[in-house]
Amino acid sequence: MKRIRIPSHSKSQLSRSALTPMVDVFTLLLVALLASYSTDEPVRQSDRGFALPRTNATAAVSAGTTLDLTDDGIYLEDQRLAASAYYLQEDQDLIKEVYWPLLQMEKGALLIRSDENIAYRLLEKLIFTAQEAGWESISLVAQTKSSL
Amino acid sequence: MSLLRSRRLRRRPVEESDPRPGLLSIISLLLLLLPFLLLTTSPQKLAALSFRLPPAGEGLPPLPKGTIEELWVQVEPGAVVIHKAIRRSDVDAGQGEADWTQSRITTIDGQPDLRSIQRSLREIKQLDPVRERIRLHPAAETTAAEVVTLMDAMRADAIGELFGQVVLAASK
Repeated sequence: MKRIRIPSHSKSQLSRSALTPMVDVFTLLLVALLASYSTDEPVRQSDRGFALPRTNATAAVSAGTTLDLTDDGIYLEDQRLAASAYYLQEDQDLIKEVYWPLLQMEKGALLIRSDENIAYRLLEKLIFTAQEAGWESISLVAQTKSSL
Repeated sequence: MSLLRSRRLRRRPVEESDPRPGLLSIISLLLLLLPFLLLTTSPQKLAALSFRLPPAGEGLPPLPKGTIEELWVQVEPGAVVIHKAIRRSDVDAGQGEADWTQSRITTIDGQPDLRSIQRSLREIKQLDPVRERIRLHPAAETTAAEVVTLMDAMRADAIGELFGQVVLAASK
């Protein structure tokens, strides 16, 4: 019976052919991760239903006072101030529970982080309240389309 | 002599260099980088959308005079309407006379037809390339996601910038 002889260089060939796709996959992963890399603090991680709207804009978010708008409530710096459902139905434009704390705070940049499904009626009331309280620099926060 | 010639002409076997050490060093570097990036990256990459707001009780500063006197986009149930007033330039036109027109773009499956909106806005931009400001009147029921999408569509299209200053106005 004849033995099958394996040529000496086949081991090296095999290793190379196995390693090359691995390097390719790692390189692709690295590029994808670097493209979507972000050090921004995730918004409302504990709230499973909360999702920010998606945008094409790339302007970085500066530091500022955060005002979160969720299905459940309105939060100023993570402190719940009012119920969203109540002000969605109410006719009054000024949200008093938000107005007073905003009036007393030092004015700077106000970042509104609204859930993507919130109606503009409520967003409009919040913008109006912030304006009445003397805030001028107001921005909407959204997540870029390159987010993971 | 013939022996020497035959030795000279004989080819030496080419030693193939082993590529594995090079590849392994790349892999080890990637294996160090990938977990580090995966652990430190945040799933959300945030962007701020600033919008113009008139100070309480006042209006925005006036725009330099251009061909387009007024321009706003209004969200209505089932459509997005672009309103514009183009200054009349014919000889018999009086001071401040403008032609008011509106283009109604119906939604597709409940979503704004962004391509048609951008096409209309591009035509308007070509009429008045200096104009930067546009007003957006979302409907009361328009969601935040739709507002952001419309703001994006009004700021720029595939060709370039459209209207950089979006004024978020009251719902009508």
